[in-house]
Amino acid sequence: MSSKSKKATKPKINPSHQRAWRSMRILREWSIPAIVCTIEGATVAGISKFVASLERHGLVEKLPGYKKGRAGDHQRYRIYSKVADQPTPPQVCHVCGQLINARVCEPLIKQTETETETETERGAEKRAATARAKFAAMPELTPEQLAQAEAELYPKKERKRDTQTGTEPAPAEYPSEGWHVLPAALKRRLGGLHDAT
Amino acid sequence: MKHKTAMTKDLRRFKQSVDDLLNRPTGTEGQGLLWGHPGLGKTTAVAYVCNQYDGIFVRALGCWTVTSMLGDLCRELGGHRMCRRSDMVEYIVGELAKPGCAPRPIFVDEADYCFRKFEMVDALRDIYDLSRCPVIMIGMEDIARQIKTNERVARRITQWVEFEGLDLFDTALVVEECCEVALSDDLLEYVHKETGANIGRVIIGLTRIEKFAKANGLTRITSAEWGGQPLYFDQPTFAGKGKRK
Repeated sequence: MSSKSKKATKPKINPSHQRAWRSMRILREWSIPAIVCTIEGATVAGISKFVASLERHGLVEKLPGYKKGRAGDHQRYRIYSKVADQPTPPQVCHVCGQLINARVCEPLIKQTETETETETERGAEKRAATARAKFAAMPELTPEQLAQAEAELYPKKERKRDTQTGTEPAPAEYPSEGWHVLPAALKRRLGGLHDAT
Repeated sequence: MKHKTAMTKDLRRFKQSVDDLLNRPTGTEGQGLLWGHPGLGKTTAVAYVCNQYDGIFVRALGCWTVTSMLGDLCRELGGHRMCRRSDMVEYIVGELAKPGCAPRPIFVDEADYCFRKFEMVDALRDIYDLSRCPVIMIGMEDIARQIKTNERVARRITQWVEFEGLDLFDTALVVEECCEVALSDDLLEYVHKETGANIGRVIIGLTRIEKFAKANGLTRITSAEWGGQPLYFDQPTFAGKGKRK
């Protein structure tokens, strides 16, 4: 089996959803049968499903005053005012970050992701600070130690092994990267070393 | 009840006029006007036709200027409001007159506000002249009278459509299309008379009649069977302050 690379693409808008969304915006306050009447070939089941997904993600709201059992009376809805200006139906929920057709709108999903990202960033900063303090305290540094300092200060820019040839790329000529963020004492020492070479 | 749109005379005329505007000969003005009393199904008809022709719908506001009108049109076409009017007109025309795309009608609701400033009407004229997409203005019952007094504006409108409500034939059509039980002629006349040509009330009345007929196992219902029951839930009437005891 050939493995195809999956790229994240923008979801396509369903044409019937687009028409339903347009009708919702035109009618402003509407019921599901009213929307069905404005779209040729639409069904109550299809529109109900779309409205339910919008309601689940808080994009439409139910209007009060509906009494069940009254002939010709249906539950009325309104589009949430912040998304009412959009010409196309929202594809991604602004609360949970999932697609609109997701069955559960869980704000914690988005929150957890953000917290994890922040934790990773915080960890990287901490490591860099520790490395700076360690190497600034050392009286003299050899070129090997300097290379180690570079690797510790910039853990994200790790040298990757070339997958095709199996060789490591040539080390970058110091101080080509990150010169401006080094501590002043280390910068002075490195400056002298750089001039000497 | 079946949830369908019945092709009433009003809707048929409106659809025909939009079609005529889309296929108008070169040199003909491309502006139409739709007006009528509230409750006659104007908005539903506009939504139906807008969906059929992939139209663009904007609602005019009392505080609208030419810039805000063009900004709203840009937003409807997937763009953003720009600083200069000419840039926005260029963008709108570019989007509407894309090669290989069918012309899309532009519907402007509450168009009474647009006629307060002729600049807005002129900007709309530029758009339909350059893009060949017609502009249909929708307003209340007085809009036509106001426009008729102004020769400069009236000359540009080539399609005038008034929503007059349902006649007896239309009511019969609605019953045939939407109701799941048959109505006798006398009950049909009763429904038409009681609802005052208002499509919303006709639908509510028919829903009640259908519910009653199904509960009693009837496939065809007459006026005698229905009796004098109310057809729809109207707003309550209150006695004046002086009449209260």
